Amino acid sequence: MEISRPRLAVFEALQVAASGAFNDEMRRSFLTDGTNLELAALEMDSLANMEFCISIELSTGITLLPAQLAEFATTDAIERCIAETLKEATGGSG
Amino acid sequence: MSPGLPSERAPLRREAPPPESRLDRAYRLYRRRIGRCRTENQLNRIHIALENYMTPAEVRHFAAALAGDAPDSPSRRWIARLDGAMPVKRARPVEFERKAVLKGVSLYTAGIGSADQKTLIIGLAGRFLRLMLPTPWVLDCLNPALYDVLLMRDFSRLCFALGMPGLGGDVFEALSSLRRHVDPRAYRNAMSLGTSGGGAPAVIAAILLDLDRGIAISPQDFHRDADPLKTRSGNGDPYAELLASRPRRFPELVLVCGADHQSDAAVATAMHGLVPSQLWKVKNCAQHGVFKWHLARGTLPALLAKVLGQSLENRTLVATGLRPPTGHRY
Repeated sequence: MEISRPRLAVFEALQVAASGAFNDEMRRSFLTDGTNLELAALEMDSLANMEFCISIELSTGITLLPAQLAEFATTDAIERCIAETLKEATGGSG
Repeated sequence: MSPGLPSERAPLRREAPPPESRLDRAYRLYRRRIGRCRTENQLNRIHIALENYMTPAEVRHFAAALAGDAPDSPSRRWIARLDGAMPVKRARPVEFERKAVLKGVSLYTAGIGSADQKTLIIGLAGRFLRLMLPTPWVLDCLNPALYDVLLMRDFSRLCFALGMPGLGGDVFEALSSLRRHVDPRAYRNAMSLGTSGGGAPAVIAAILLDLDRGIAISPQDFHRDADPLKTRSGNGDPYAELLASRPRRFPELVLVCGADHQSDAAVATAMHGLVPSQLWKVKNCAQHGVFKWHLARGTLPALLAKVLGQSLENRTLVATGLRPPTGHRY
């Protein structure tokens, strides 16, 4: 299964920020089964939220802010936001 | 004319400006870096890195230097939070200074006292490259006349399983090689203190380096987080073998976790079953960040004194229920 760039960016950011809560099983299912994770279940504090957003920005160039994460609430919502922003940046050519 | 004063006719000699202090240089570099930031995340990245490395004196210097900035500016808000939450808030006669030992290894020491009058704390940082809290908050609790802190950070964020540049290719080699840079036995006593992903390595360090005490705060499952080591070595399970070893001088080991944090309590309990140790579960604490939990309650210095088994301010022991570390010389 090919992993999209937005999903990979979220995966890498979770690896950096979500620490122990993002365990092996979650990592596998996130990459192979397309699992949607609730951010609240990942025990991310304010520092982790910052690290998450920094990682997303470094890998995609897209700025998400820590304060926005609560609104997104899930990894799918973040992935959609990244995908749409990337699409707009490339003129909708996908 | 008073002796020593220049004649009125003598040309005025322009005094050379005082040499820029290390603190001033650090602040100037900070302003330059911050000036290049275009996003909030870029600012946060710099601030997080500074929090990982700064000394209490640097925090106070930056707070004074930034006092003229607008109160709602990002820099001012950042330093106000960092300075405001210092647990002790006491300027010391001689302050900690940071010395780079190797990439990922910093020594915090003050130019006062000799090693045999001090305690060496070998700090093993967790995934966020700090001891659960900004480094100056931890250092602020310690009297620099009595403590040196050697802080190790694993940039691969794999519990030091892949070692450290310049020290070795796995956690055992890296920690053993530390002796080339610092001699724990030269100190009055020596301890390791690891948080989160640095917890298990702190236990390893205490046994390998023959330290007086090893302290693991919310330790993580070493086998889970250090899988690459297992797959690389193929040499059995050196971690389990070390925990099962019983050298003649075995360190006192203290494992601390939040009593109400299920997964942390499970990991600490499992580790407690593998190695002779004290297991302290912090009542009513459901957080992984045990230091943060205590900081919020104003009890961080008390917790640190308890886990170290000695005062942070003078040379007295603190009752912990453990025997005094063998290296103590009071």
